[in-house]
Amino acid sequence: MNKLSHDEIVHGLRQLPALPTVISEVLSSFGNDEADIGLICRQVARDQSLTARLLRVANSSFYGLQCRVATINEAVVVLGFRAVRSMLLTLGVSGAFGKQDCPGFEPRAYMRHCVGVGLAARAIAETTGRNPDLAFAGGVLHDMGQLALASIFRGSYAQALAYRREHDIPLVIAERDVLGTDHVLVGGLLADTWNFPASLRSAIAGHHAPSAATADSLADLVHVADAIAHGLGLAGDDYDLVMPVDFTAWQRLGLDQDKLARILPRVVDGLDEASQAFSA
Amino acid sequence: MIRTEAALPGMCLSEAVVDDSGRVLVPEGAVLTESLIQSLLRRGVSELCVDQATEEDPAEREIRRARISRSVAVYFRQAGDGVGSLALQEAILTFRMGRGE
Repeated sequence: MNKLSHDEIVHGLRQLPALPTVISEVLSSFGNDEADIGLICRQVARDQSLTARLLRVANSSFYGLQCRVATINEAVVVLGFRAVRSMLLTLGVSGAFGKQDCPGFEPRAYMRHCVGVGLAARAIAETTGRNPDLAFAGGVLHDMGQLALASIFRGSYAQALAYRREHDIPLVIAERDVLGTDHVLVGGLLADTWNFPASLRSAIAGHHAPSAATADSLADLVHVADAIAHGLGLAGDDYDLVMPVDFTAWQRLGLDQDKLARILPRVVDGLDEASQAFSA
Repeated sequence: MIRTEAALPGMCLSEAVVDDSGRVLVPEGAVLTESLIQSLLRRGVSELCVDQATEEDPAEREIRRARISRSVAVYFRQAGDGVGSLALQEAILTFRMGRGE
């Protein structure tokens, strides 16, 4: 087994392409109430591919708009900057990894699971009075450590994926056994490299151990959303499994059967359209 | 309210099915048949309000519940018996039963 050292991982992450400037601007706007929204809109407008993808999502049934938006400025007016910002971040980061060809890694299944977690996190946020746009972005990006491992350490990661199938164990355990690290740790390091805001970092680095995070973080929310997506088998992966749901996270969110009955249809009904809209 | 695909013959409509202009296609109280369900699907009627009490034969419902329960249990095979895992498994089972899948 080829265990990865911390230095190897950090070095590998540096080999990933830098995020587009506009996505870095979007990231820095999270901690800055005075962010220049106009500047960000102008930068997005210059990126035709990103603009096209943004408008496709904005006009999909995901947002249920009554009329079509034709420009980024219209999208900001109709949906609000927070929603557009989360959308840009989700699209920009997903597009940064390029095409995946790691054996055993299924990009389509990965995307369906992540979008499912995003939808579940958004629905839980609305039910529990949190920020739904941030929750959606945290949900979609929570497993980005997997994308990083599949991109940078293709061969070793393929071994971890095969090991998981062979032993029917959670992916995170297989990663630790084979690689000596896991997608949660790598995702956290990547969030640091790309200067993610603390809220999104906690969604990525804390989703398998949410009780260690603060009660207002996204870690609880994404942890339970992850369990929902696995429990519904959204990725269509026969080896999918739910890990034990953390007691503290569950208690803090205060979910019950009535709330779950409202959340689950929103995840399943929105999945096909949202997965298509957010796929590159 | 259930999805039309999940409707079963013998179920009783608790609300009339109407078209876009409000014209009644099937009246309230009508008992569904397989051909009626198929014709509603062809017309693009995606959801129906049915009387929950007359939905399904209890024995058939138990068989269906056991089948869906086994399928959900596969995903929860390592989720343990914590309160969150059990509540989520129950919610997903109820949801999938309601969807008829």
